[in-house]
Amino acid sequence: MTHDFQNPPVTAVIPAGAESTALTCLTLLLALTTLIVLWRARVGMRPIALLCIVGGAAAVTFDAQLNVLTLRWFPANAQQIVYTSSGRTVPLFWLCFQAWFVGCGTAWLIAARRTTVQDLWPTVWMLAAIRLLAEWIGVQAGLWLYYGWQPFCVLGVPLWVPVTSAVAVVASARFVAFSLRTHHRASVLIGVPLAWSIAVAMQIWPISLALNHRDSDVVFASVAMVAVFLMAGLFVEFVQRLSRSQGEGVLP
Amino acid sequence: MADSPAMAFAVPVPDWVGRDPVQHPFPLEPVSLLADPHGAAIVLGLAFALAAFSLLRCVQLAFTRRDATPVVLCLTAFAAIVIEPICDLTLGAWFPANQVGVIEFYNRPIPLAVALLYTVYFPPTILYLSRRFEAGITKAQLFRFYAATVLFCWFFEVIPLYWRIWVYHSGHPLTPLGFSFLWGVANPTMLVFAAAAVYATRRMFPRGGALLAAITFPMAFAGWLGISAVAGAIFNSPAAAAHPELNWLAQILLLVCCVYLLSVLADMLASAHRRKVWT
Repeated sequence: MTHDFQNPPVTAVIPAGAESTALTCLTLLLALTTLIVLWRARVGMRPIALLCIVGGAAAVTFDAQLNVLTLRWFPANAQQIVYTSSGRTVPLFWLCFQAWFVGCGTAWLIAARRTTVQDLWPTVWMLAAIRLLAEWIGVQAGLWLYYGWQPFCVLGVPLWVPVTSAVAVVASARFVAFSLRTHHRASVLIGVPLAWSIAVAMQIWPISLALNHRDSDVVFASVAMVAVFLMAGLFVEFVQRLSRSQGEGVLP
Repeated sequence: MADSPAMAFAVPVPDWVGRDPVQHPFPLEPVSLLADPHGAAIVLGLAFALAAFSLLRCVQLAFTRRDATPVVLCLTAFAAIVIEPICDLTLGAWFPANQVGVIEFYNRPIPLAVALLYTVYFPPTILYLSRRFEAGITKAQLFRFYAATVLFCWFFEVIPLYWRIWVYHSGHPLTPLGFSFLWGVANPTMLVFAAAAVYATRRMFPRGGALLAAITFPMAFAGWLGISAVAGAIFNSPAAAAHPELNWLAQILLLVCCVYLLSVLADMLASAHRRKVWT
């Protein structure tokens, strides 16, 4: 018995009715966003947009491990489960959430945008704000929670979560957009979850180490979070410069 | 050490039964397993010698090129050992505790020898690949390098696995001579990915200097977790614990992810070289 993770709040429960409400709302939101993305997308890009959304749903495969490493917890009384791994269950509404945020976000950036963006930062801030709002709703509704020495929590949501997620969506979109030049469109199904997972992993490791260290405290965790922000910033600048240097604007 | 060579690579598979998956979410390590002390001492000595040679070579390169990047890479590679325990947790690798330890995260000791071997494995390869990227590398060449690295890892790990400097445990599907091809496929991918990331960052931020290489390398290293995300989800599932043959699916999916990632990376590097955007 060598693992030294902080114990999750196993007694937490999802309030009665919250899970089904969340599932219904997220399904509707996903359907609505999908329709908007398809409506805005060029005809030839619509299948790719759909594949992006499916790929976004596949990004859920990283979440069980991510939950352990970054101390997020889905209460165990969830009724509809996608899968269980690493001792963590991932509920069905989270699949819809990932399909909406990662999938639709990537699809929007790749297929639905009609203007060339020369500056990625507004896109990142917008995605981070959307994610923060969604996280607040989820945490306040008791659908999931963050535990341990989470630094800079606002209403139960650590600020590194929306930032890293937003950056990962942008990175995923850029990666997939590039891969579509030379790879079959079906590769999007691998590209979106792979790029998203890699981008998240590249940013979250300091906070994961800090949160799970036996001598962790607020100072240690706060320093780690600052490191996460710096890495996220470097990541965005890198993607931006890479795109500009290839003379094609940031996104296709 | 085991009595016969045939038994030397046999690692007792820890029991999943009885563990609390919430508090212990990853496969239980064979904590009672001990490294061969004689072998551990030899590996540590070799690692010291190789690391010293690597550092000296990096210092020499730094003076020749008037660029601190090789030295910074060497030191960063040593420091990046802090990320190793996260990777070990998710895909079942374990360093027996009776070795000279250097660091402990997640309550897992990591031997000094491994941190030293990092300085031998990463900086020269990244510097070599950077030179190849500079000259223009084709997809075929990149995949040849990848295949060669997989084979190199396989042959190289025979010795430490024999002496149990580290072991792979809990249901790895393909383990000839104790070497896990789950790791064998993911590690070289991360190596190429890290080299490409360091190279591209240096090109994108010409005034960032060696400092950016020091930040980029551990980030790319941690990308390993993302590369192996799907495989990890299967490997750590109760279904795979009950039916270990499911881990073959993890192996295949991981290979597909790695090949796809390398293919896109090769295209990106070729495109940048063709457009001369970094020169």
